[in-house]
Amino acid sequence: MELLRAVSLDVAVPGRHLLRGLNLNVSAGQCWALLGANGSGKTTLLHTLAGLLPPAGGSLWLQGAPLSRLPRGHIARLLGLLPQDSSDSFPATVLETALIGRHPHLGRWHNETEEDVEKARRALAQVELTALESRSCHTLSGGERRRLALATLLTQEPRLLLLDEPTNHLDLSHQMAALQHLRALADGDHRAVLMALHDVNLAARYCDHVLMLYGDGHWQAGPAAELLDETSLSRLYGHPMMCIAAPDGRRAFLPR
Amino acid sequence: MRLALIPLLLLLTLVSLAIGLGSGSVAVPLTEIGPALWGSDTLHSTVLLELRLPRLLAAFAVGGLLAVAGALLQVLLRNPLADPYILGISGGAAVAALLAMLAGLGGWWVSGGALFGALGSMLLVFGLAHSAGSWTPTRLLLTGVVVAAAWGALISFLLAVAPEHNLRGMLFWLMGDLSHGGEWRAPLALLALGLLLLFPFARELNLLARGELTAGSLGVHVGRLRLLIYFSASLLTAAAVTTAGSVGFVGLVVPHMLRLVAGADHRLLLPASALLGGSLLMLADTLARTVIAPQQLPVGVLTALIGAPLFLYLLQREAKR
Repeated sequence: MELLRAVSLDVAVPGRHLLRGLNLNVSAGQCWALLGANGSGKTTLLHTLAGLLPPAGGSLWLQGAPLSRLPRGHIARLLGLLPQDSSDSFPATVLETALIGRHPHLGRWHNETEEDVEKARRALAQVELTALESRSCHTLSGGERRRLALATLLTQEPRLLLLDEPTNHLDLSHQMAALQHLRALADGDHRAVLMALHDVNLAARYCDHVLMLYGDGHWQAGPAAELLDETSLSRLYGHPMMCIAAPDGRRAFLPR
Repeated sequence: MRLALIPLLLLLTLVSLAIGLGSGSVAVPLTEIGPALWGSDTLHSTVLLELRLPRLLAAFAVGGLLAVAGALLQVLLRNPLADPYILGISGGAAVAALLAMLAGLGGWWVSGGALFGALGSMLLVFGLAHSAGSWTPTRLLLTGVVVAAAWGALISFLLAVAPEHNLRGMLFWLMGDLSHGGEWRAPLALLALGLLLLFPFARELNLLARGELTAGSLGVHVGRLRLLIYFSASLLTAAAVTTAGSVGFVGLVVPHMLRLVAGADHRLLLPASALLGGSLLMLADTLARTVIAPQQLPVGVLTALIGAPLFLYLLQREAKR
């Protein structure tokens, strides 16, 4: 089932075209990696796909409806974004923070129910933050904050999860756990995931599709197995890369 | 703690009201307040109904308006140091009110001038911050702070050229003063109206406090919500300033006190701010007219004197946890 479709989408920041004529089709069950060098437009593209920025050209369709015309609350029930950074100006506990993910599902006059709290707790358990539930966010480490942001997105339960570098600040085991869980959401729960990643090998391991942004307007999208090779990655990062075979048969990419 | 907060604050409001009604040059014992309020035309009931009650209600309304406006602006600007006056509303009001005083006009002219100045300043800051298209909190904050600084310079100028006999009244106005027995119906009605209007948006305020991006991706229409906050906070502040001049401290500190005690959920914070701000100002005003009676102090002096130690105590307690 198609969730998000981009039709000849242009993305630009003042003075620069980042992406021209992107055609993209993200369906339930798919897990996309968004790859590109610094400043190639990954974050701007994610914000555009989330409907937070107007595209410079082209159109976006969410479950067949034009994204620009959908009410924000409706979008937030289908599509969620994990921002690159999150900051808290005012004190809040870990559970309260996860619970804000329920906002789009609640009416203006409704409060969170026991069921909502239960969902937030399950998401916290998923990222191993249960023990910190009543702590203030200010006392969390960088990695714990990142996992809390992920738990908030999981509590939101969107059909399409857009994530801006979800593995930032995470140690190795939490990186694997987070990506494994996202992969499982796509496989078992018919959700779709599109995430900006800096680690090509994580992308190759967990994602079935890649979207590569070259930063000059050019892009490539398609199955990861076909697109990930030495040539395209060397061009993408502006640094020669090589591909080696790991003992278990998987491919690994290393900078030369 | 949280569930008990509103009843506790209601109790505090009633106690503050009772203290305010009972104290003064004609002391009214607690047991006689009730009979005097509903009773016949005795001395006590005249004092209570015509002098103390209207003034206390005005104090409650002003304190509540300022505290709610402060809570809103802290979210809008995402800056814990924001207070209702940071964007120049009170400065604009003060310049217009002082001009009216200098012209020898009194009463309604001063209040009307303050209202006019406050609304003018609100539109000026909005126009300047908005004209370039993008309307970020930082841009709004900088515009507001600079406009406020310009009003500050004009206020100093007016004080410098003002004749001696006007100076005292002008200074009292600037520090915040309820002694001319201001109007209470309009500010109280506006406070109630503001709370009713804003309460349905309380959860969205919680999200906006966590940043535009988080709020936007969770379904908040950020642009519209910002406009709502800016204009409602400005109007609440304008109403407070028109009634009592620029009473300081309440709008900055009351929301923070409540955040320290009960967290940052605006469904609780908005009504609690109104009650705590109102109670604090009723107490402060009662002290203002009794500590060195028969002389009266500007209430703004006392809000900071009561509020600062209370706030520091809460801050220390929080740090120990």
